[in-house]
Amino acid sequence: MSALLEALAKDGVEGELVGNKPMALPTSEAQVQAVLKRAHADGLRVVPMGLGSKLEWCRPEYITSADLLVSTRRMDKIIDYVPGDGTLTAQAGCTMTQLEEHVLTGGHRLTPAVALPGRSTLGGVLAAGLSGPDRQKRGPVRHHVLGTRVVLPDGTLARSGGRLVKNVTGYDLHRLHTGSRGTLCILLEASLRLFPRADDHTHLIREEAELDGLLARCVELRTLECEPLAWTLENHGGPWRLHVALEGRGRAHEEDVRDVERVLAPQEILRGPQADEAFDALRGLDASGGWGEARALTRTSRLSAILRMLEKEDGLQVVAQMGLGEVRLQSPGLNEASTERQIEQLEEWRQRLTPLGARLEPRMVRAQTQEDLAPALAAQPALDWMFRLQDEFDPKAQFRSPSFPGRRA
Amino acid sequence: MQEQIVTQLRAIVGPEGILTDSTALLAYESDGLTLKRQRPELVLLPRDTDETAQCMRVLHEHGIPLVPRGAGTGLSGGATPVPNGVLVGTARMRDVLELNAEDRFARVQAGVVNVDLTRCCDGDGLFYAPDPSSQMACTIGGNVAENSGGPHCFKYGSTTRHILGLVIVTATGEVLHLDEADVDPAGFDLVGLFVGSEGMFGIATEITVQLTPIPPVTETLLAIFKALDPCCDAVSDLIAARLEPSAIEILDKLAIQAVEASVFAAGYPQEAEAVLLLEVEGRESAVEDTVERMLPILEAHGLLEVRRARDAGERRKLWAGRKGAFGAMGRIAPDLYVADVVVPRTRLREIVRYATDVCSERNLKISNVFHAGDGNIHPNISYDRRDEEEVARVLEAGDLIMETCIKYGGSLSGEHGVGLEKQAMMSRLFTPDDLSVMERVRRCLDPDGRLNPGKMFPVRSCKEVRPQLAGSPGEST
Repeated sequence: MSALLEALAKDGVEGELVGNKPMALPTSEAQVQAVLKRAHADGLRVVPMGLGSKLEWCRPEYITSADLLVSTRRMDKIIDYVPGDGTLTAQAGCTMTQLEEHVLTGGHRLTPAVALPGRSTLGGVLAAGLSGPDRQKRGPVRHHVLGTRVVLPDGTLARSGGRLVKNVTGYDLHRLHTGSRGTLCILLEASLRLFPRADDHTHLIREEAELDGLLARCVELRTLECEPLAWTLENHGGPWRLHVALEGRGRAHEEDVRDVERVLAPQEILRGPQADEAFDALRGLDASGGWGEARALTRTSRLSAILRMLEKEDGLQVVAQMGLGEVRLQSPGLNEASTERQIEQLEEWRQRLTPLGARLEPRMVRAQTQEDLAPALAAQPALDWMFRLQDEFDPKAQFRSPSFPGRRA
Repeated sequence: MQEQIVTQLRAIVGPEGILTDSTALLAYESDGLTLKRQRPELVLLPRDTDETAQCMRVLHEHGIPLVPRGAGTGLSGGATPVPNGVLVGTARMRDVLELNAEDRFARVQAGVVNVDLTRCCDGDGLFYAPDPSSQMACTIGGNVAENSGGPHCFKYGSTTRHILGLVIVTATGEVLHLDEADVDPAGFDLVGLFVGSEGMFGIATEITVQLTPIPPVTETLLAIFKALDPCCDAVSDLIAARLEPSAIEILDKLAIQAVEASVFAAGYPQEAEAVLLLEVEGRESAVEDTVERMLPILEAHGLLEVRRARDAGERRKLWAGRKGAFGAMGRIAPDLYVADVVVPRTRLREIVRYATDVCSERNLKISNVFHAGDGNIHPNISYDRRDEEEVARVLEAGDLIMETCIKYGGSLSGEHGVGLEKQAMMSRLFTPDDLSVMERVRRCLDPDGRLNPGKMFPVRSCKEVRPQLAGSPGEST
């Protein structure tokens, strides 16, 4: 037991060692405040976390530089589910599976549909700003966070927004918190907008050896009246697979299916529970496959050119959200590669993607890789504002990451 | 203001971009919250980002406070000038800079009028979804500042969900480009933070907005009820049944009568106690299905009749009545206090009933026109601002309605913002720490507090309830 954990225990906060890192496991808002006040007084470097499923890409430096991990995993109460209002308020440590199952009882669906929902906490998902394949229809997660309660590095407890589907009172600080990767605050609680669970689900898949044929079908799919729940093109070393997930009800749903079937000429049409399984598999594609992952973000009209460029790379694994302009790339060879090789590969991708109008964002890369690439990849135009916000809320740089939102000049 | 500063500013914006004449300034004394008035020192109307930045640098150099303004249609006093301050308007920034139908976005100058944006892209089968009632006049820049809503935000969400990027001029005259139309922000979501910040972080001069495909079929229904309470209950049940129309709006009897007596007459039945204006969009079969599922719910709450718009002309008329309702209230009394509060959608009947009772007890005329589907109610109190005693009763009723909304788990504003109107109530909704954190964010981005000062955050107030100038001695201690 570390001295720090012993000190925290005197405040009533349990904890454990993870490797050689002390991890506090508070069970209440007051305990999180107590932990952070102590850390603030001692100037400790803190990495907030849920179950840790996204730490490697969100905060890869945690392994080397954190003095203290603070996990909200024991704060796992559902505070308020109002089926009649379509809203959910829950503590940050609830798993996404727990929340999904809970709201299903009232006929609702939770967004984002993330990979590994049983190993992902609400707080972790929001801090990572993670969206799932259902973003095609629902939009990004940041659009559905109605409000948050957070603790700042100095232990201040603050709320933003509320539990209402429409609300413009005060600044939308919850938008700032979502996707801030634990560099500004620890999320304690969030309220989310829910969506009706549809009666009918269908999942259509077409597989082709060549990319071009599927891209042509994508152009036509975009002109259809239907609004897919997900629309994903993937390649994991073999043929290309195009997925279209549809949800709806009755005759309208059947018409959607017929339209997509006509354009896609799918080899597989899965319905009901089979469609749900296929959608879950699609979610799973977003789970990390190992070191050496990146995302390319662009406009949808530029996707074809980008995918054609990537097609020529041997062994590259690609998952593209065709209606959104997002491509996830992974080179399995990078999994075991040295840091230098990772940097070289990511830099090469960046140089090839930038002229095509895409921005590269490293995901599962080692801390040193992330840090070394930060100057080239950072959000330069607004970095000053971001640093000002960090300086205001985290003057002792306890929560700061060397690579996110960027590195100081 | 020193003539030397005026000369500097005139050199930047040209003679047509600066207003100093007291008659011209009269029109800028208030926004839609006419209870609060303050004449600005001068009005600047820059034409683009560069001119705005130059003006901001001059104002920064001389420590002059300023208030950004779009069309001045806001109802919370967000664009009320401040004493010794300048008003920076976007009225001459009216260009659509880029329309990309393939990627479904447009880049526009801040002064583009909301409805003009939709007119500009409807030939490509696209529209801009947020549709405030003032959309014939309000600007995209103003919509960004207030995170504006509108009837169709029930389906499509408020302004914040449709903004992809911004070009911002800061208090010191820096130009910040947050305008790449990426799927996710690089770093913190500063665009999301900026939208709804009520002109206190900077002036958005260029805005990249998401456009939405025009749905293939639109069905508009007018459901007529014999009482307001069951009409509210019907809405709560539609939400609970997880139905997804694109708009759910309520008008009560007084609102109907005002509309029908005005140029916005839409054919609403004047004998009805309340009507529900519903719109359903999508492919034809989906629309039919949703309508079929809605009808039994409406019938269970005493529905008298449902009328369906037979064509686009009838649909436009029904919506013109709804959107013109606030203007039509001018027939009831010369002034209108438009409350804007939100409650959970399970509590619609209670809050509407409460608002009605509070006004009846104070002998005030209340009409209701509101976004029922979002739980966003607008009790409209008609009054005459020359009658100080009546104004006091109006403000008291407004405060009580807001307090009760908070008690019900609601909030102070659904789409109009806090501005001057609700700043005193902020401390009822938020803790001192909540407010302090917001103020710290503001300090980061505008350290001198020169951008729209005296708005949103509560000041220790004497609780003065009579018409007064914004920032006058009676306003705060």
